[in-house]
Amino acid sequence: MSMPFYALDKPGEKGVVLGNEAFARGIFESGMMVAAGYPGTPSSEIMETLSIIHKFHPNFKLEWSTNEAVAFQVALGASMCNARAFACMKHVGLNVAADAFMTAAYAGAHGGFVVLSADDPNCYSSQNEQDNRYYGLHALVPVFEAINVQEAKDVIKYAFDFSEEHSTLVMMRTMTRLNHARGDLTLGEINKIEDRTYNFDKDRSRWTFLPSNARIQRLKQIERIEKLRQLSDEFPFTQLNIKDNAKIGIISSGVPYSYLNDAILKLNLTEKVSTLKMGMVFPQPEELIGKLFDNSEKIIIVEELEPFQEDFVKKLAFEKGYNLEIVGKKYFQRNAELNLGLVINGLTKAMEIPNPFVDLKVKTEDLHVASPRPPVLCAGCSHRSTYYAIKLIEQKFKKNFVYSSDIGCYTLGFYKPIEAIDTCICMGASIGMANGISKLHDGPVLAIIGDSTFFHTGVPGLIDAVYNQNDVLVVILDNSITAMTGMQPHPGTGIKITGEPGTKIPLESIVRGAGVKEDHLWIVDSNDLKETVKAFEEAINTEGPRVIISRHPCTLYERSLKKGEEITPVVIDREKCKNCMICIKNFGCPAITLVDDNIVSIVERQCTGCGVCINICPYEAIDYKKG
Amino acid sequence: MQDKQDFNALCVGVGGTGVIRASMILGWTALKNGFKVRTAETHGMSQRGGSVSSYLRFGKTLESPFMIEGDLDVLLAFEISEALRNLKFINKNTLIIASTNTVVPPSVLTHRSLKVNFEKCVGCGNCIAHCIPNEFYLKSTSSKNLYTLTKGPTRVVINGYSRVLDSCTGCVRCIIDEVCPFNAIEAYNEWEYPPVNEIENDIKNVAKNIIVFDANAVAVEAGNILAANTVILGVLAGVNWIPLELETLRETVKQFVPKKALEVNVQAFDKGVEIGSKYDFKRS
Repeated sequence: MSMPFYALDKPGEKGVVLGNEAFARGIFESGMMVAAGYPGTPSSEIMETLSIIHKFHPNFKLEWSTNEAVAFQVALGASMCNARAFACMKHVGLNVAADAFMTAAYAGAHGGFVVLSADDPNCYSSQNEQDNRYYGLHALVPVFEAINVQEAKDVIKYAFDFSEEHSTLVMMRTMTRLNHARGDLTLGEINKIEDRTYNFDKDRSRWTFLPSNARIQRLKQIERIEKLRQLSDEFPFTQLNIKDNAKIGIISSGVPYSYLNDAILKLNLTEKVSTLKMGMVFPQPEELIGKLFDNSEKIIIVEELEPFQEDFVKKLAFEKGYNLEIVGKKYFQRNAELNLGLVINGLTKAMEIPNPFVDLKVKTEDLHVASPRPPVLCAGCSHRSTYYAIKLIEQKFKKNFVYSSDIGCYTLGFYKPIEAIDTCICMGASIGMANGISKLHDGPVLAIIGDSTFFHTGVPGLIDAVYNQNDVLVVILDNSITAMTGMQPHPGTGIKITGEPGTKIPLESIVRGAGVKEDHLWIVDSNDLKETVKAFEEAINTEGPRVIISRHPCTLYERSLKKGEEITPVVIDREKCKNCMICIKNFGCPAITLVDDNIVSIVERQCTGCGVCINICPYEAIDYKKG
Repeated sequence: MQDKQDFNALCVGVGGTGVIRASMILGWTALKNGFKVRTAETHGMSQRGGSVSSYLRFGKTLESPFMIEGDLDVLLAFEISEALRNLKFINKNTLIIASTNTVVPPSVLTHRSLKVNFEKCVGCGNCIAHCIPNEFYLKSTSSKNLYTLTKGPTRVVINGYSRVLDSCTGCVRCIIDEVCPFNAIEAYNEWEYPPVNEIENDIKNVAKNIIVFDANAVAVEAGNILAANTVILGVLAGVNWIPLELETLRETVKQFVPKKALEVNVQAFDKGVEIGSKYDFKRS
């Protein structure tokens, strides 16, 4: 592998990179020593990019942690040892880490400590679109944002300096539109990590939150945030731009600021509005906001999701005695993400000026509608086989099954033709909810959870099921990788983020250790339909906490390992096939399709040769291709 | 064109058609030609058959990763129905380069069913008696395979009318075999993939600067179907619609394709240039 652009030691060199690559580069440039994270879209590529940089600059340490709480704690421990430390997670991951985060915020950082929270407005790949700026407010931790790819690198690099200088945790809040955006980047200098000593800082009363210590740390925290509040006005990535004749003042930050920038240019408003771009979005720059008040008759706040700044600015205006019109969410939607069109629309309405860009588009109302393209389980996905076996058993028992499910590829089992997902709330919740449902529901209760999710937060739910003797069947869909986020290894794989061998922890050893009895545990190959159906039949006939581990590697992962190997696809025997479409409608592998609208056939290029469909055709018309 | 500061392109397709790579190549080309570059992508679902799109903006003053809907200079579609889906972003001057490549979403097939015309149906039940998936559900025929799943009866007669249930597979054998004496059964597609020629007509109806062609065929001629995205980049370079230099684009393509596929991609690019240079579009 040749060295990618973002790993080059060539300050001043320019390239085009993904936002997440820029974050990783900034973290690397800062002299970060220990990074820990758990995969989660849109943040995953940051740790992956760090692992690639690590191949060329192997003197820092990094790990995929079991979950975000552990990742945060790992980074915290490293910070206690004077290391610049980084914890990486998606927005909902911070909920998992929140217990540690809230209290560690009292103690602050020793070595620079940055936690990145990748928010996902519009729920592109998340269960909610919570606004994590409130975590900063809640924990009194400063929150930084970047407006573009270059700033992504620059701000996060600066965040480590800032954290260290002021002994504070820093939260870098990002959003999908920056994590998964590309832009031009100029590389900077790489700080040497060898220039300091790493030892545990034995400041026992700082790190031990007994009530007597906690009360003292709490006072220190309040003192610290007051100091940081002053610094917000001088933050290098915060800019106040006052125009002499402007009556409107606009406040924004992050990606929404980039829309604002373009909207002002497009609408020729450069001389007509003053702007405040915030790099530190909490605590807010009160003096600068005051100056904006002095120079404006109306304040417009352009922000995504909740009225975080709007509420603050209104409060500040009240405290400082200004009588200004302050608007925000009145013109900019609270749900989903903003874009240039929405910002232009909101801005022109708030300023009561015409929007010249409303009629650009052609009229498309009378055209055909493209069929929706919801994601489906891949051709050859072993989850499909497990689901199919469950459905066969449900059909046979004619009982009212409940499928309490979880977060991963298998959540796609919600869609036709599988429709075997009844709940999905958060990581690990499948088993916990199943425990509750099992106390009341008349019928089998299944908790469906993936391997990585089980390690993440599924284990306590299983222990609860065993301890309380709940009547649940936990189905661990083990495809031996964290597939949904792009093939990251986990404890069950025994491979570390660097590709080096770690210690492999078999799922069954945890299940047995949690107290599941031997005759309440089945381990099957998902693609062996006979064995899998038999296991489900026995499990449904058994009572109490029980587990099926349905195991087969993710087909994409398997193929990447066996690159170049010949695949024997299946074919359809035209004489036997009656085109009844049972295979398409009830199994739904994307490698089985129709030609000429009603002839069932195999897309050879997609078929992985898993052979599961051979067992489902009523006419035995499917078999491996001969010769 | 001289006074235009910023340019917007949108690359669309499905997983595996090379959308992200094409957008990356255009981005690096723009950077080398001295522009600021911004892209916004949707990935994640791409490997699971979802739509993929990448917004690419380059210019002197821009900052944000999204253009205004309608403010699009170029739409590159690597799959034809994705061109249709994204027509909402174009204006009448937008250059559209689309491949006739089709990838029918599997969900179109799982959303097929039947409809009964109640004006014709008399509730005779002949369709139920002749339904193949229903035979398996009722076990009135023996399958040697033990693992055939049928989810229930496919239809019932209620109040003198035959009603289609969810478990109908939409195989339309009953229509093909003409089991209904009254022609009361019709195919029903909840989701439909429109025929390619009709999509092409739709595109022609809203845009005038369009090149719709079989990029896969050109790529096969060049040596590998996987080079179809490079063909489309070549066409774009040939048309010379946005200020990216042909030679820079060609060099960037070479930089980003796998070494063993270099020859094929250069061929594919040049064939594309040849196609594109035949067009002389005008902005109005």
